[in-house]
Amino acid sequence: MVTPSGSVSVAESGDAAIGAVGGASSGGPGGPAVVAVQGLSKTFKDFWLRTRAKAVDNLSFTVHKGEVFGLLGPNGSGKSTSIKVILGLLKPTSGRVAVFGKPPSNVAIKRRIGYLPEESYLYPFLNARETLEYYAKLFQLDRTVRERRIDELLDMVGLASVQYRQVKEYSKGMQRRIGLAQALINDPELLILDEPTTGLDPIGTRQVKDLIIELGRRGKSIILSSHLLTDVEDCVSRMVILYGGKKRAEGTCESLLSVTDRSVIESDSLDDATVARIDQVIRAASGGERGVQRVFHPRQKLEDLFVDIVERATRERVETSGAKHGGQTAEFLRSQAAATEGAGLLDALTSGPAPSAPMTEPVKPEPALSATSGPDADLLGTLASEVPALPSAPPSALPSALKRDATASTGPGTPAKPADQINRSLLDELSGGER
Amino acid sequence: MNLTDFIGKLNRWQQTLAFKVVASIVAIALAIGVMVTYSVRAAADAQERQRVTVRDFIGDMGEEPKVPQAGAPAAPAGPGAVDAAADREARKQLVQQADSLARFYNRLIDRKYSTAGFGGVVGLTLVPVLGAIWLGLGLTYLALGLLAAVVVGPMLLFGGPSWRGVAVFVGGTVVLAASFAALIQLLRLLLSPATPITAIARNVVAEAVRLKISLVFIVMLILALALLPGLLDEQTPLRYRVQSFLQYGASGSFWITAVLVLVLSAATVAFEQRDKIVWQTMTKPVRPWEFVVGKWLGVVGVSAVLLGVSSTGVFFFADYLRRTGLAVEEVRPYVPEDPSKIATEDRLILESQVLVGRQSTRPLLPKELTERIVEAVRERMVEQAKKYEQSRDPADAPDEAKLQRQVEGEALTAFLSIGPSQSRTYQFVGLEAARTFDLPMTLRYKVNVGANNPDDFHNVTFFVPGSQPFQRRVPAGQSMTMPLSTSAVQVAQVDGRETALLSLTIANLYGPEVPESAMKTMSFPPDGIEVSFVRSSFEANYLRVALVMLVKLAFLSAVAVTAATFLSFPVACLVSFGAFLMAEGASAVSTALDNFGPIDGQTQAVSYWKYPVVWIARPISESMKFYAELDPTGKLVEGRLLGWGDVGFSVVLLGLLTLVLLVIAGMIFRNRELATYSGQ
Repeated sequence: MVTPSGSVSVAESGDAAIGAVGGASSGGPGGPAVVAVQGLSKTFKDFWLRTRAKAVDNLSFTVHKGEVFGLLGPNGSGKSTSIKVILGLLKPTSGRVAVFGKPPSNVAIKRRIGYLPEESYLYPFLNARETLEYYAKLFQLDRTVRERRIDELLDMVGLASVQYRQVKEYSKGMQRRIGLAQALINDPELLILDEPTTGLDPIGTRQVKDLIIELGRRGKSIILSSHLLTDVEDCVSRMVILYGGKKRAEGTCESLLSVTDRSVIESDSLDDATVARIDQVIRAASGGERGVQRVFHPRQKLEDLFVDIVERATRERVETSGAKHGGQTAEFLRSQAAATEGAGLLDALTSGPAPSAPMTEPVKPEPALSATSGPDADLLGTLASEVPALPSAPPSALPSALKRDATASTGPGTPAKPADQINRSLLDELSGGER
Repeated sequence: MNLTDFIGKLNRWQQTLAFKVVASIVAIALAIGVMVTYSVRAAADAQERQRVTVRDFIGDMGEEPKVPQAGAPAAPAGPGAVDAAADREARKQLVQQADSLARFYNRLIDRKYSTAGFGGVVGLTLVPVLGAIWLGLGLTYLALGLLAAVVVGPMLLFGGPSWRGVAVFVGGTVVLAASFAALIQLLRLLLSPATPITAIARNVVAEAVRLKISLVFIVMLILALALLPGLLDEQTPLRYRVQSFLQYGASGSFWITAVLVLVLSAATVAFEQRDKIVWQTMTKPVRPWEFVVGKWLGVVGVSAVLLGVSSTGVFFFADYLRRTGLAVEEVRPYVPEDPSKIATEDRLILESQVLVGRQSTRPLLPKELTERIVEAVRERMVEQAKKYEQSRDPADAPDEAKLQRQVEGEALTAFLSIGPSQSRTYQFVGLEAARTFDLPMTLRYKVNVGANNPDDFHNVTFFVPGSQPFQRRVPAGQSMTMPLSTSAVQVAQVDGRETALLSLTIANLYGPEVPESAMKTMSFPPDGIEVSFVRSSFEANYLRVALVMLVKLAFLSAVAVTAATFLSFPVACLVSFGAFLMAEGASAVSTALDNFGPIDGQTQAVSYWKYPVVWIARPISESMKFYAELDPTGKLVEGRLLGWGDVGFSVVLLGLLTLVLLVIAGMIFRNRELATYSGQ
């Protein structure tokens, strides 16, 4: 079906997968292990020592430094149980768990961990400020540091204007926000988030995802547990999928998610004639075996629409008694930028203006176009040669997806694709040069 | 600017350093002004007061008889002849006694005009005022005070006696509530360092004042204390009013605070585990023992504040009653109706026996009696062993402890009994302090005669060294008191040691008109005769009483915290309250168990089910007897001394038990899986 659209879906089969740029965050089995779980099993018994449930069964995985690691699975698959064993809230029935090389019961390692549980278990009689003050004192932060971090975190989670209200008066989403803030109060090296977006509105969800991505880029190790797969997909670099307490799959996003028998090309809106021509080129190149399968206008995500509306309301200064969505990432969480290798890499990759505020949607990783050998290369070459030459577009006119694609950090596991490898002229030609 | 903004601005102003400094200077100046005014007035009154002399007691004794010169003919003997030496000795003793009494009364008079006591009151008031100022509550409290004055003032000035009680209640509530709030702020300040223990303790303080479960007790305590003065019957003798107030005030405060401590300790640990809030604490660098100690410390802090507020309130009002209350037969405080009297009996007893710290001593058992007891126990053990060998009945098994108690009881009963026309001398030792303080001693005695019929009266004759024998007609079975001069105390050797002792001879004498069949033996119960003397002031005694109460509360908190580490809230409360009641009633239980033997005395039937009860209850009651016998509020009410030795003993023993409990709690908590199966 050919419709004016910006997307063209081309069917492929049995072809080598086009190398995909990894997730927006860095990660991969390259750095030292921060969490090592080996043969973990956890069985719950009742008072009479009868087995009630085997929550985790012979689970093994490792989380490396700087990695955003996803722990996925449906309800009751053992995600939260695994996390609780890692944190020392439960003892394993068998197997071994090491966090920073030490057993989970070691108190010293907890200075380096931040934890957001699946529900917000907070003191109802404290207000937001007192809550953060309490947790900050448990880390023995001195007063100056404490006050500064509390102010920044309250701003970041949008609760500065309601910081003196007791937690019991907060909505669920607001409680989640303060929960997130307390998990970050000690600027942890390992952040464990159990269902972090539960109860949050789309903007809050977006902010959390952006925060995770940014923290990941700054070298933090993050374990993210969720059953909301779309939220996870944007953030994690490597994941393990559980079911019934057992590991069912493990790997990076690209290895698990890539559909290798199709290619998607996104362009500006195309008319029917152009689509037909593209279809002809593809059929000619493949001997009639392949063609354009689907042409459609991509839909704006509901999340984006929501964000637009809220941003507009914020600019118009409409009153709200709920959480505000002002927050930039707290300064103390960003202050390590110069020291991490991720920042240098970002600077090297970036050629245009810096990415906008965290409100922007992180872009799904797109397969980079490269002039590799094989049938795809020929096809692309054919497309390039048959389309009339068009005036080359300036760099700023690049489609945003590609631009972001070029600037996305790829982390230690996946090599980066320098911007100059992207075949800009081809797409300009396909689009007819209209801007 | 609206009212809210104005109040906010005032609130910010009272937090500034400049305000705090100026307000402190004003408060101190006011206190000094009040003290100076009072001192000047007291000095003016003092010029009018009359001091008591020896002559006021013994009048003119006439000329002292001369000692005959050596070689001079002896004076003729016969009726009317005066033994000069004996007469001189008697005069000397009379003067000594009168001098002792005069010194006591002069002290009483001095206390009435004393500025030191009033200075203490002003000082103790100034401390919380300054505290409130530096805690940023100066204007708040000033506003509260003015509001209270506006409400209470008209009641006092224009309302009748019925409104006076309401005024005291309202005023008392405001003062107590304000003191509580200031002390809580101070406590929060003390717990502000950034460590896990202090952070957790501070959290407990916030929980105590914000959660209804504990706020109810705090409000109840404040209201009860404020209401108590209005419940005193003004027709009752002043000493009984003061004692009642001390009894209900101090004892009631302790019990309400104890219940709060148990409930709060159990709730703060159990609820946090139940609601999973503890996860986010224990995933921080907090050791299990730090969590437990932090919780305990927070509860102890709150109980210290409550105890401080209630004890101060009780103390101040008791002192207020003493200074402004009318004793029996007084027209004004300290001024008897009868101008020939220095002080009324009611006032004397209040000042010398109630609002003091008295130490008591009971008669010393003669050495030969003690040796006879040991011998008797040995003989009975042998008899019992033979009996058991023959019968093999568990009821006949020799029990040395029980036999010891039986024999001691029998010997003591015999020692404290005086047959008709007989007398017995009782020695009371360890009276060094009585001679030091030189205040009248008090002999308390209770005589049992026959069935102790309410209409029975009995003649008891006392022989006190240094004074003429005197007889008292006393009702049977009722406790009586009698002042004794310290001049009767002598220094003597007892068991090779020099000690100050009082030898008191008591005789059971009948007149010639009483037939032998009507003569009865009189006896004193085991605690029915004792001599007490002032060893400490009321203020110092109350301070020690408050310290012991705090140590007890700390122990109770440890019990509840330990129980809550592994039990749910209701079960932890049940266990804690059970332990509390067992500890408080240990003395009574121990005594009751003596009569709760499995073997019926009359039928010799064995109730086997009683064995486990005795086996469990006996060790617990014996081990906790020391807790019950501390009895700080009982001692306070009766004016008995709670010495530093008692305080030290309670700190060490209860402190040790508290430490053991906290260690157990830490170990339990460390091994607990805080995150149980999902959904539980």
